[in-house]
Amino acid sequence: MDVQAVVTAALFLAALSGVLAVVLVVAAKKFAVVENPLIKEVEEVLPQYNCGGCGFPGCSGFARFMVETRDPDRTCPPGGQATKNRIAQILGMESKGTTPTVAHIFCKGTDSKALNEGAFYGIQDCTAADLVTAATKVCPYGCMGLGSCVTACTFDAIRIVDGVAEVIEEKCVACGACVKACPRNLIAMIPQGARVYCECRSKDRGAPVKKYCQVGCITCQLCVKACPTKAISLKDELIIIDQELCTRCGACIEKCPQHSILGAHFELPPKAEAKEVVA
Amino acid sequence: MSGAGTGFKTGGVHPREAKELAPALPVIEVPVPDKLLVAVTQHLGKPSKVVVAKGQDVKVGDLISDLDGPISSCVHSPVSGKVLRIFDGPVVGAYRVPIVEIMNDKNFTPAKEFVADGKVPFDTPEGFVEAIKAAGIVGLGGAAFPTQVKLSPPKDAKLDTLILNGCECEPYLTADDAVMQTRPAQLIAGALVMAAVLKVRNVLIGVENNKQVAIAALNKALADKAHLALCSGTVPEAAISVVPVRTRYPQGAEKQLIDALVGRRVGSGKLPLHVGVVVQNVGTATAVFDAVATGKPLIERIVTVSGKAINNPGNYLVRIGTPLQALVDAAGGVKESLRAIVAGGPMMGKSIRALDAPVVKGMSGLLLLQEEEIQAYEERDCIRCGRCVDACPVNLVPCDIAAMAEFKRWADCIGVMDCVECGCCQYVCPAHRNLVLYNRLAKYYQRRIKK
Repeated sequence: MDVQAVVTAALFLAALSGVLAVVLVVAAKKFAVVENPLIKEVEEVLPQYNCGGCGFPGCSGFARFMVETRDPDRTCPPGGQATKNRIAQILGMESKGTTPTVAHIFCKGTDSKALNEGAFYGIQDCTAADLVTAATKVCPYGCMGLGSCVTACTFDAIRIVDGVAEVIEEKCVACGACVKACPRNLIAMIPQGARVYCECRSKDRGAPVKKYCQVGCITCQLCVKACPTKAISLKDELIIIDQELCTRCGACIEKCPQHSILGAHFELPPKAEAKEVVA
Repeated sequence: MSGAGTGFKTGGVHPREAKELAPALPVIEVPVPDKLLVAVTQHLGKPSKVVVAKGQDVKVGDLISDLDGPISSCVHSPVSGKVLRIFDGPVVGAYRVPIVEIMNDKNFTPAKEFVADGKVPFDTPEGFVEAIKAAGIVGLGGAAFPTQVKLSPPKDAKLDTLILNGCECEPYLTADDAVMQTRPAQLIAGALVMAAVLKVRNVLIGVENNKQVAIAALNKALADKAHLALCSGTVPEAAISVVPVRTRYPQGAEKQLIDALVGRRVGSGKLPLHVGVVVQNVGTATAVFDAVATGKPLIERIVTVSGKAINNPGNYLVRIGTPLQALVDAAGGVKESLRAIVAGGPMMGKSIRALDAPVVKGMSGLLLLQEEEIQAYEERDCIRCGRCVDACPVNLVPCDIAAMAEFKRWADCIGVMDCVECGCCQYVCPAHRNLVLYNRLAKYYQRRIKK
């Protein structure tokens, strides 16, 4: 065995690694990227869902944005107020209050209540069906029940019940992916808690709505007249209820001949108890 | 250049023609119903503006909606009567669009006298374009692109050929065939007017060789110089020839027809005028003649009503705005066996659920099909046979586009914007993939991403 060859090789490698080590150390010092340690800290308090609800592709992007801009109006929807407070604490700024929101589907025209006609053999996707005006639901504004929002939701918070999408509010993190997925704009983020909404987005007038849906809004405006606080108005053929003015007295729920106005998460005053309140 | 074998080179299919169901002749006039539903916008481009109000009296040819912007068109009242209401209703391909409902007083009082047996008068090209624009003429082949826009090419365009499209490659449909057989002289005169506007001296009429009667009728009119009798002698002569082309779908697609007749390829994102050609439908040519010679706006068209579930299939001359139900009633009503309704041809037409929509300018056919004519298959996985690649007339790879679209990778749907949605790929697919719908989805999302 040639001992000298082994020694030469070992020495050469040792020298080479020594030189390279020096080069690497110098390079690391010279080209070091100083990342604000706050970014990492903020990122750690974020929920790491990478849901995109904040408008960034992932949590790290949002963390960087928050550290750079310290925008007090931006928030992480799934994290809610708690995360917001912690971010504010890390960044040393005032924490503003946020209203926790939840996704809501503005259609209650289930298969038993709304008319379905014909058959659709194409791609079972709402956008595809809408592109070729081929949804089987006769109402051109209602939920098609093909589940584009279900596919878009990464939290399993939407399911199709009796032909209409329904949000499981406990699971919803308010990322808003479903809002973008719905081709008929039936999904909106609404404040959590007690609410009264007209659950129909049909812009048709009374006669055609009556033909195809038992719970469709016929724009009779009885609710507008019934509301004691003038919280209800007709905008763009749609009944809009101002949630701040609404006192949840139940007058509109009682008056609505189509039962398209529904409330949730509150007890109605005794006189309106006979009407159904969705829990 | 001519000859029975002329055709486009790439792809294509030959579906069962089924044109014998609804023979081209006779063309039956549909009784005008009591109420007409005139869609405000009946063209491709910027929507028109309504110019009538509820309760207003209108006469035949009165403007219902006027054009708005350069790529737009107008719509005229097909009857005289009263405007009942303006509401949002369904048309083929859209759930809710503005529609003017007109009560027909059955007097058919014209707004101005139409010149019966009119001749093409002396006029400048600009004058002709103005007349065509005022008559609300759009492409009658199906896409309904405003004709005056096609006839006003940019100044630097070097045009040499006008092609009239009489291919009618869609199965079932015979409406263009009917036009060519009944009014060949008017058709050629209309072509002369358009050639004069475009200042081209070469007019080719492409007709699929399964329409020999129409080819003979056109050649006879040319030999008799019947079209010259309809012009007042001031329209410049042009070399007109009827070219039979191979019967193959989609021979009637604009780019495919150019390939077949003049051997030029219209590249991706390019228009026919980039290769010096303008293509017009044969029905459009007769409408141009009517507009220029008689002053009659586009208020009626020939629609093929066919399929095995209609009692009297055939060609029907129908006023624009006639509800489809009235058209079907005029054709003897539907049979019990009705399973599907398609507006347009079976390859590119739109399946509709009800007959509540009205006839619009771009509607060439209405098919009422029964069980054996429609086949709903279960969609299977792609077996990578590549038949769709062979069939695609624009050299796309539909199977790959569909695979990318299925997983929402819209940016990877290569070349999908060139897709003409002809349906050849889906027609040949042994796995019955919804290839056309995937392409449409990909186009929709690519447009959305661009915004």
